[in-house]
Amino acid sequence: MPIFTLKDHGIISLLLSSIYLPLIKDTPTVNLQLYQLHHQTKMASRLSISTVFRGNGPRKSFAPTPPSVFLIPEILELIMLELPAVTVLTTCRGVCKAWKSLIETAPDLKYYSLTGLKRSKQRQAEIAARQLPEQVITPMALAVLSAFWEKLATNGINDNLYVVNERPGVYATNRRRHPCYPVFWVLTLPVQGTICTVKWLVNRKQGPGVEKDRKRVRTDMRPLFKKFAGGTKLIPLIDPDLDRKMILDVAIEDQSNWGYIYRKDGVQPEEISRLDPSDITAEPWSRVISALAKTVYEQAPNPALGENPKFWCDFVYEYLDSKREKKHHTEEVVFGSSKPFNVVVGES
Amino acid sequence: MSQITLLSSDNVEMKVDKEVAERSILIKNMLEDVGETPDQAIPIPNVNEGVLRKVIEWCEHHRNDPPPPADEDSDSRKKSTDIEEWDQKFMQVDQEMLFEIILAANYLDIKPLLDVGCKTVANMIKGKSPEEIRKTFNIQNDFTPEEEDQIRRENEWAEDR
Repeated sequence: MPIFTLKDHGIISLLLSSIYLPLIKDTPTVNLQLYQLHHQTKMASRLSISTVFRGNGPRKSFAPTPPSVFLIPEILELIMLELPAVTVLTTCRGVCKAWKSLIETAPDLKYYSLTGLKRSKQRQAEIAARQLPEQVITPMALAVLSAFWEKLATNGINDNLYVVNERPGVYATNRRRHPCYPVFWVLTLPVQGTICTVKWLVNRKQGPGVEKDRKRVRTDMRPLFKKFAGGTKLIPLIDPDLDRKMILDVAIEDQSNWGYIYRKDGVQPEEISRLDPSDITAEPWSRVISALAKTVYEQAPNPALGENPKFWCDFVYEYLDSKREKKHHTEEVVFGSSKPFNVVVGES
Repeated sequence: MSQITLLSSDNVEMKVDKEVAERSILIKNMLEDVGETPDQAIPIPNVNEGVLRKVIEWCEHHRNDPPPPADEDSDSRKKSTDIEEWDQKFMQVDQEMLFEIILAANYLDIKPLLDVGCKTVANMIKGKSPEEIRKTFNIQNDFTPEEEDQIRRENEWAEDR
């Protein structure tokens, strides 16, 4: 069939189906043809004939033909699921409208681009059974935190320090949301939390030059906040499929262990001391991340001094299981590796 | 070892071991439904000779592979750079052929080959800017300057320095 040099298999398939069928209806070779047609609903995701035509309009012969694999959303999705989530969320969204819209609408891909987690049947079953998923802090959240901390460590606070943000006020005014809802979104967290910690560290300093430092921090904060305020993407810190009612508390209070960070290297569990209330906002999530940020600032080993660049800590929190009993969940977080403030979950 | 004959879209017949052809779930299911080894050639209308030969080459090499694990999680932990050496060499073809192989694997329902193909394309995307991706794959930039600027702002947090 040399006539059909179109690269688009969906079209070829359709053309061939319509041409072949009347010709070979009564011959034994029809088997596969009929079989394919018969199973077309089952194979819809593979054949995608309809999707090839959907929304693309008639193709002009002189326009450059995009490669056909990218015209089949299911395949494009499979390709993107092989990329790091950060690449999908940032780079791939900037390629063309079709890619952007696929990333923002295809359920699995959208979920992956915002969390770094892949949905699987097993995970869906886990969620359905109300079991706590193994990985709670999402890889994407840590990618955002890593990027933020890395820049902070390398450059200090300056104009090139970016994290997208949503205004915390959105949560304060929406009573229907669960009180711990804000912790499910990381984007405000690195900013608020780390900035709080920076402030806290500055306030803790003694001696000459402190006032100047404070002023510098304050001046630097303002444009930063302005930049973040126009934020765009919400990135869940915690798996959005997790039943939020199961989490009892996220604040750093005596009854809760959200603020505890346990070190694995034999150091006794220690409650992260409360930050000065004047230094932090009232939202509990800012304390959580402050605790995390503080640990990084204060306890990260210095590879330059020959210290092991990795250190482990467990992030522990309290939740209700399906029988409404209190349980603790421990999330191992590894700080370090070759880059400063690089954060990895579950790697040892 | 029973053999069957496949007929490519450009009417070239190819004899293959049944076991090899059955790496394609489409063909496997079809043969199961038919119940006996057909004497006639099975038409593969979407796949031309060159591509079909490549696909059969892959199936021959992987004829004894164990079936993929049912647990999808173990699979998802693999990194995309994890492509077997033989598969990497196999995929060293021009872009058009690579895409043809992916489409054929998709059509014939050969999941492991589809995976390798998608990983290969993913590796071509990695480390590139949107502009470089468009250039590599001949994709038209259909964003308005305003939309492009908006996306750039949204992505600033992830940029180096």
